[in-house]
Amino acid sequence: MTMLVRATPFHSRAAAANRLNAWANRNGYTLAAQYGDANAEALAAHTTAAMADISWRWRVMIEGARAEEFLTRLLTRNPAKLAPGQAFKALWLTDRGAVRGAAAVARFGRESFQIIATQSDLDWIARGASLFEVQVRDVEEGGLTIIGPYANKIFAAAGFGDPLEALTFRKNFWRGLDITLSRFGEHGGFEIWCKPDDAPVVWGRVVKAGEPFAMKPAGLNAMDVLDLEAGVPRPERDYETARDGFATAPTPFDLKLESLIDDDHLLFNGRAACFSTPRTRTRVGIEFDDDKPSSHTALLRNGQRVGQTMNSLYSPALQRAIALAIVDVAAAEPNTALVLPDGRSAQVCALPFLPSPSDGSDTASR
Amino acid sequence: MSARNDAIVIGGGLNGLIAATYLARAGRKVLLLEAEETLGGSCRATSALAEVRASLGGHALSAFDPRLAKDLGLRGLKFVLRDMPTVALRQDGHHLILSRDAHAAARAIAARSPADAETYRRLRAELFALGRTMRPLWWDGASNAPYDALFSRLKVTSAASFLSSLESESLKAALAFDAGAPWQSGSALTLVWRAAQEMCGLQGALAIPQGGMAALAGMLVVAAQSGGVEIRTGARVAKIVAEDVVTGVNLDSGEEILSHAVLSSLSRRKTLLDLAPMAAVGLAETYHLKRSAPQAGEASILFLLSAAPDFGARNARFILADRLDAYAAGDSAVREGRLPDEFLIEALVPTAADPALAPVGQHLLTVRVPGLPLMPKGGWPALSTKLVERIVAALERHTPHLRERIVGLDLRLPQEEEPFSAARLAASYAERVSTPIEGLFLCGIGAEPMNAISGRAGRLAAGIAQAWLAREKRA
Repeated sequence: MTMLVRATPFHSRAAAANRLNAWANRNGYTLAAQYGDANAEALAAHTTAAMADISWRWRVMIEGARAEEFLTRLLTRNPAKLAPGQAFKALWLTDRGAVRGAAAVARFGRESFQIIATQSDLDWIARGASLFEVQVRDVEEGGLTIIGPYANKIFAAAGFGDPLEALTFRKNFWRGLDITLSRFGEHGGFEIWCKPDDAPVVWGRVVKAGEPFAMKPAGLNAMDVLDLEAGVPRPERDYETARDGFATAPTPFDLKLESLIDDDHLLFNGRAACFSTPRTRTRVGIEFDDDKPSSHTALLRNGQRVGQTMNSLYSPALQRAIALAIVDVAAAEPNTALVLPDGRSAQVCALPFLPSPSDGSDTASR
Repeated sequence: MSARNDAIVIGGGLNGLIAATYLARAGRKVLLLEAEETLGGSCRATSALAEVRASLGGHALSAFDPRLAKDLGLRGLKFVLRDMPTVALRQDGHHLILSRDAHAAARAIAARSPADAETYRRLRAELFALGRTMRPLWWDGASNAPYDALFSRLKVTSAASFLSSLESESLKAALAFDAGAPWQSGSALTLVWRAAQEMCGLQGALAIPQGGMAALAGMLVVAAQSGGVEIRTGARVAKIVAEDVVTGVNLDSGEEILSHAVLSSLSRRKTLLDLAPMAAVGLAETYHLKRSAPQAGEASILFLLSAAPDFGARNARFILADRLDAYAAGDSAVREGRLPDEFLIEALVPTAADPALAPVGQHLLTVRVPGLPLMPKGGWPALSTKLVERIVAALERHTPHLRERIVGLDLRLPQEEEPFSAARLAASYAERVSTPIEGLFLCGIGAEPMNAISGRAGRLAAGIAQAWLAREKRA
C-alpha cells in the first residue's frame, strides 16, 4: 500500500524553521515533529506563546436545506442552538452508543456548518449526509493556532481587531487577505484559517506579530504534550474510536466525554443505547512519580487490575510523566494510589493537569 | 387510558394472525390492523378467476410449524398433500424424481449416474446432520452463540460449491432452487435449512392444506377471534409512533392508536424505513437498509387449464431449471433491468390432490418464478405480457401445446422480498424479532430466517413481546 503524504500549505515556511529537519506524519500530512527543542516549545505555550500548524485537521462543510436536521441527528448536542458564527464541541455515536468521533462544529449560515476534527470519519458523515440529501465538501485551507499567555496580545498586535469570544469565529479581511479567525481550540488561544496560496504570507505576518512576545513555532510533539496536560483525549492517539456502525464501546462515559452531550437533546443517534449502558469506567489523569512515560500499561490496585493508561508523555511543565487513563469508577478518586506492573507507583489526579495556557496572567506568573 | 392496547399487530397475514392469537391467549389486549379489506396476507384467495380457490402469494407451505396446529387448536387443518417429492423436469422426458425417501431418490439418480447417487447420499446425510444441529436455533428461538464455529464455515460456503461434487447439471440446478442465490457465500445454509424442514414430521418439506392456503388463513382468523383479538380491516398504518420506546401507531386516516408494544409482520426494511420514525432508527441501520434494497422479486402465475399438464399427474413439486449457472446469469439480468434468458420455475398442480380447488373438470397449475427484476426497463405493465408468454413457452418444453389448454390465468407481478442474507440465517430469532426501537418487534417475514411461511416468526415474536411486556409494563 502506498500512502500519499501531503505537505501543508505552510510547508515551505515550516521547512525553513525546522532546524532539526524532524518530520512526522499526521492525517496524511507532513508536519514538523519539533522545530528545535520540543520541551522548550511546550513550555513556551505556558510562558509566552507558541504557534502550530493545524492544517492537518480534518474539515468538511455540511451544506443543504436539511443540514441542521442531519446534524441534529448526528451530534450529541443540538446545532439548532448555534447562531451563525458560533461553535460547540460534540460527539457522534454509533447506533449502539459508542463514540465514533469528536469535533468542533461551527455554524457558518442557516444551511451550512463546518466540522473540524482531529480524525477523519468521512464514511460515517457522508453516509449519514446521503440519507438527508446534504452535501459534504472537503475544506482545503491552511490553519495556524496561536496559544499561550500572550496569545491575546499577539491577536491585537497582528491587527485582527476586536477580541473573539471562546467558541466563536468570524471572517476577516486582513491587509489584503481573506482569513477566518476562530477560537475552537482546547488551549484557549485562537486559530487563523487562510487560502492555501496565502499561507506563506500569513505565516510570515504571524511570526512577525509574535516576535516581541517570544513566540515559538511548536511541533507535533509539543502540541501532544499540551493536549495531554489539558486532559484532552485524542481519537486514535489515546483511544480507538468505534469503527463499526453497531459497535458498543467506547461509550462517552468510558471516556468521560459526557459533558459533550446535551441532556435535553433527545434526537441524536445512539442516545438510548448510550444512556442505558452501565457506567463502570471513566477517564482520569495519572501522574507518575518519575519522568518515564508508560503508554497503554495496566494500572493495578491491591494487585487487581483497575484500568489502563492511554497515551503517556513527559510534561516539561510538571517535570514528570503523565498519562490519561481509563479506570474503574471505584478507582477514579483523585489521589488514589496505583501501581504499574513493573512496581512503579502513580496516582490519580484531577483533569486538566494544568489550566489552559492562555488563561491570562496566572499561568504566565507560574 | 383504559383503551390503551398491550399490543398492536400490523398485518393480518399468517404470522400476524398467529402472533396476535398467542398474545391474546396470554391475556393481552391485542388489536390487529390489516390494510386490506380481507385477512390472510399472501395466503388470501386473491385469484380474480371465478370459482378458483387458490392464492397467488404462497401456493404451498414449505415449513409450517407443527406446534401451531396443536397450540392454536387448528382442528380442521388437514394436508391433502405432503411428502411431496421434488421432480427435476428434464428436456428428454426422463424426469428426476427426488422423493423424501433417500434410497428411492438415490435409485432414481443412479439410473443416470451411479456416482451422483453416491454423492447425493453423502450430501444429504451431511445436510440432515447439520439440519438436526440447527433445530433449536431455527425452530425454538435458541441463542446462536453455540453455533459460532459452525457458522464460521457455513457462512462462507455457497450452495454452488456445496453441490459442486455432483455431475448432473439438472440435479444441481434443482437442488439449488431453494437456495435462491446459490452463488453467494453462505447460501449453503439455505440447503441446511431446507433439510431441517424436511425432517419436520408432520407435513414434510412442502405441503398443501385442504382447501388451499386460504383455508388455513381462515382457520387462523377463527382462532384469533375466539382468542379475543380485536381485528380491524381496511386500517392501513401510516406511521409507528416512537421516540426511544414505542407508544402506538398512526393510521392513514389520521387516527392515533396507543399501545405498549407494536409487532409488525412487514419486512424489516418496510417497518424501519417506511413506518418507524427515522430518528428512532439508527443512522447505520438506516443506511444499511437503504443500500441493501432488493432488486429481484418473485412473480407467480395461476393457470386454469382444461386438461392437466403432461407432467402433472403426479403429486409433486416440479422444478424447471436446466443448469446451475442460470441463477447467476439471472441475477446479472436483474441488475441490468431485463428479464433473464432462462427462467427458474417451481410448478405445482394443486388440483391433482384436491380437485375441489377448481371448477369441475378443470385443473390448476401454479408457478413461482423467482429472480425477476422489480423495476425492469420499460416498466412492468409493458413487460407483463412478455413475461407470461415466455413462461408459457418454458412450460411448453415439457407440455407441448399447453397454451391450448389455458382457460384462464392470473398473474401476480414480482413482489419485493428480503434478499438472501447468510447473516439472517445465522441470527437467532431474538435478534431478528427485535428492532432498534424498544417495544417494536418484527413478527413476520422480517423475523424468519428465510423467505418461507412457517408461522414460527409469529409464535416466537409473540413470546418475546410477551416477556418484554411482562418486564416493562408489569401489567
